[in-house]
Amino acid sequence: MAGTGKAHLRDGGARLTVKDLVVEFRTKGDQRVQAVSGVSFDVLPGETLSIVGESGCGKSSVARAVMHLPAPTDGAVQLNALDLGSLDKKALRRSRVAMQIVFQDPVASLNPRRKVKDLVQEGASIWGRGTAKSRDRDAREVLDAVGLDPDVVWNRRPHELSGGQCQRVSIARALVMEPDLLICDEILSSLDVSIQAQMLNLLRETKAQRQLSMLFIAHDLAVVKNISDRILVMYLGKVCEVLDVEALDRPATHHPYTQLLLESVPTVGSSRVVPSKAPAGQDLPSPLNPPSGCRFRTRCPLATPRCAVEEPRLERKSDDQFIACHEVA
Amino acid sequence: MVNDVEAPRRAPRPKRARRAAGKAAQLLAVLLIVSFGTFMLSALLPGDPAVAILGEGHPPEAYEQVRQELGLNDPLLSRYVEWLSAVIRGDFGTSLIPPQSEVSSRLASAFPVSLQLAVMALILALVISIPLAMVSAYRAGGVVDRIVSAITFGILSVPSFVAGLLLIAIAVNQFELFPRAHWVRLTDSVPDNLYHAFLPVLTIALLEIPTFTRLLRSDLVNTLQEDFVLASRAKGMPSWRIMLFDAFRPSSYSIITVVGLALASLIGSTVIVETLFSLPGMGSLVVHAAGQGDLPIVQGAVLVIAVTYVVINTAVDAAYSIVDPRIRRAQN
Amino acid sequence: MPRTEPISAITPPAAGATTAPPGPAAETRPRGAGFDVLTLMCGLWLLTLAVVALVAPLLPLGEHQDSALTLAEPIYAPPDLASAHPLGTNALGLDLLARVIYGARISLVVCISAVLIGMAVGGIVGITAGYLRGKVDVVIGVLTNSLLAVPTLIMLIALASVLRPTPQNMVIALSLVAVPGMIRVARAQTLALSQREYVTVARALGARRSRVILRELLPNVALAIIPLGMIYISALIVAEASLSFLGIGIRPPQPTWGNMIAEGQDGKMEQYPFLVIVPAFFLFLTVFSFNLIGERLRKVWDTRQVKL
Ligand SMILES: Nc1ncnc2c1ncn2[C@@H]1O[C@H](COP(=O)(O)OP(=O)(O)OP(=O)(O)O)[C@@H](O)[C@H]1O
Ligand code: SF4
Ligand SMILES: [Mg+2]
Repeated sequence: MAGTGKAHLRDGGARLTVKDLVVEFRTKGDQRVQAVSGVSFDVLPGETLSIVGESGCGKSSVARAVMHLPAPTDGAVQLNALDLGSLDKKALRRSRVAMQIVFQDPVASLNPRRKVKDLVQEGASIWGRGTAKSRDRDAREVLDAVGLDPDVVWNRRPHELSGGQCQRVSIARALVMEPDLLICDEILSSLDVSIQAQMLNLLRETKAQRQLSMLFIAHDLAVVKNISDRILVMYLGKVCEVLDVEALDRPATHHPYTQLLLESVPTVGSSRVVPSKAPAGQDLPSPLNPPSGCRFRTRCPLATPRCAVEEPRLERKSDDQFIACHEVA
Repeated sequence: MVNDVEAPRRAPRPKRARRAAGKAAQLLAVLLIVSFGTFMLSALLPGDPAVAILGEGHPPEAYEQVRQELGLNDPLLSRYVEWLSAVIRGDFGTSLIPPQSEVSSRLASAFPVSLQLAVMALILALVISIPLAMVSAYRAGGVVDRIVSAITFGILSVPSFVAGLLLIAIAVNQFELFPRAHWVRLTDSVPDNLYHAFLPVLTIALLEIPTFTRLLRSDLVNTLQEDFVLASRAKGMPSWRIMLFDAFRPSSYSIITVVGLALASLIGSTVIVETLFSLPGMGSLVVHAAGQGDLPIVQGAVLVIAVTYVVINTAVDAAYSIVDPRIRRAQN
Repeated sequence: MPRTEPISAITPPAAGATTAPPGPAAETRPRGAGFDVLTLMCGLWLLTLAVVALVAPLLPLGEHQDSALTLAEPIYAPPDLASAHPLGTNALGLDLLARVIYGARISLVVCISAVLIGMAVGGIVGITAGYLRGKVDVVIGVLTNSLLAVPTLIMLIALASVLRPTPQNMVIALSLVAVPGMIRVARAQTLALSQREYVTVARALGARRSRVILRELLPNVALAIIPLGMIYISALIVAEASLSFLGIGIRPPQPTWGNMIAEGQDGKMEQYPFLVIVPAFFLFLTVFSFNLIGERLRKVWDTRQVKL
């Protein structure tokens, strides 16, 4: 995999375009970890792109880099054709509002000292939007939309809500800003299964109503099948495969890593918990010291000597499928 | 982050060296700032030092001359540099109040007294708090644990001058078990020295016992819940053996740090006790000097104590990161 | 009974040391966060003391300071609750009850002001260091370590050697003691909190740095700082009393608990134990109460933070 390449980018009209994104962290010993190494993708208006990969492959790092929180080490992020990297602090602050993010941990996402009404109105109060009255009304509306009774939760603090309710508040807080792009970083994995289904429905409805583009992050394919238009599979900071959701179940060949993920998807009716661990026995190699050539080769059943020296590029396989693999493509 | 970064390989040497150098630079900066603050004490002094030295009613030229001699007319920074370079050579000047001896010799005779008190108090505190912590942790939440914790919490709220006064009232005046106001140097007679030092040492130790006991207890309680301890339990090892061999050793790392830090700060905290028992240590030296406005002695004592503190801390820090693999890993 | 962590505030951690003192260890079984009778009594004590100290001039108390007015009063009168001097008198015939109350006035005002200053300055500086990191953090770290390098009492004594022992100077000196500990705690809290998603979300919503610091971080850092403040009040009360006891703090005839206790030195205490017992008792109860309430608050807020 270790795929770089932009064959899958569509020209023009994208809401979000990300090119050659690199995210590096400095660790204590003054070393650098590349959490994301040259990832590109785009999201059209009203489209949902899911990013899938196991824990630690750099999904959240992509999300934060897209928001410029903090800015990526390298690469370009364009929102509605505006290059975020070229903006000054103030302009960035203003443009960023068009993207909103919801995180995995519902409780850590809400300031424990605030009441729900203040949490939901936070954005409006930062920007001084509307009157107190109109803000209240908007907040109530959006709470209602996410399935919370405004009268019940209005004066509650996060610790008086359940995890699912907290997550709804987070979503409401994001939606009330009427963003063009909503980033959902594993928002389902801390919720139990019945609530997961409710949330998925909620997101699907909202998306339909608002022409919202979404970047939906998850670590397994089962969840994303229901909600995505396109899927991007990541491994150790690189792209393995990009495909339309219809291509997923088509008896087509996939990247070996996608294959692995597909095989670990629980069958319908089984109560198996969503696997968050590496699907194959081995662990993820350290991002401090990634394998040469194709990063997946240490776990790949098809690996050849070529895979150790040459990095595969993302190639078009069909109109709706792009794969970075020497053997499969 | 949720993800474990795999423990990275050791950083290349030059980077380690650079980090060590950065730390050393920070230490040096701390020492410089402390010394500058100490030096600046004299600037806080109200009134004109020349007047203070000569007294009132001299002609203005006389004051001017004194100021000239003292170098008070030079710019602040150059005076500081001069003062500091003298201090580094061990010359803290002479005390202002008779006997006008060299500050350095006064400090040299006082320092060992305080150091001895601090070290002995630490040992005593450990001797008392380790068993206390063990019996508390043995049945955490039980009656003994609660009593110990109530007592330690109570002791924590007794200022050491009150504790000292009470000890004197009881052990010295009531029962005449111990002498007061005498100090026999360790070099003169060891048993005599220990006998005279006991009450003061106990008073200081009382300051540290609650902290040590509480810390060690909660550490022990945690260790006792770890898997390897549970495994020993399952094997049927008697509880006291588990306490001593399995739980105590890993728990003692944190006490080592705290002891190091306490040693450093105790050298400053012996003040009260030295005054109460009239012991010739740093504390009583500095208190008397402060009462009389004898600034060179105060400055010298502050510096010596601060340097000791910083040096001990650094040493503890280094020792600790060598001893405890957990820290080393965390630093990577 | 209080089962608590050591009060690291009183011996704050090392200068130049990056090793944090061993972190708070989990309690064996989490005890209820509720307040019990003992805490309630401590609270009542502090409240009563504060009110009485506040309205002291209005109370029908004996003379506390001016011995010219007490020439006719008995000296060393033993405590007798039914008499005009319920807690006795001292060598000058001054009323001990009046003196402890006026002593409380000074102690509380001075120490609480010092802690408030320490909390404000230390809180803001610590949050700034923790949020901005980098060079600012290093510089603040060095300054903090410098303040910590001189043990509390030694620093106070050194300052006392050049400053006149007025209450204002006392407040300044004592707040210097409180600041570095507050900086450390605020910084550590900020480091932890700024990793929380709600800070990122606030920035995503467009909040400026100042808003993040004031609205997102400050209220949560305060949760950690307020209990520490309580514990610092007790530490400073002891420090202030120690200074007066040593004769270099606030001086007689103005009463403080420390200089009142000092009156019992030189054998007076054996003859007239109440000279020491009365102020020592007040001192102990007050310090104990602040310690206890601080610890309880910390635990309650800690568990809440964890639960969140
Ligand atoms: N602030 C940071 N400092 C250092 N390393 C980091 C930091 N944040 C993330 N990393 C590292 O970057 C890599 C990618 O992390 P990231 O959080 O993006 O993964 P993820 O795919 O979102 O994982 P998860 O599914 O567990 O959320 C990991 O190896 C992680 O350890
Ligand atoms: S076959 Fe080679 S290139 Fe393809 S995924 Fe496996 S290791 Fe990578
Ligand atoms: Mg993540």
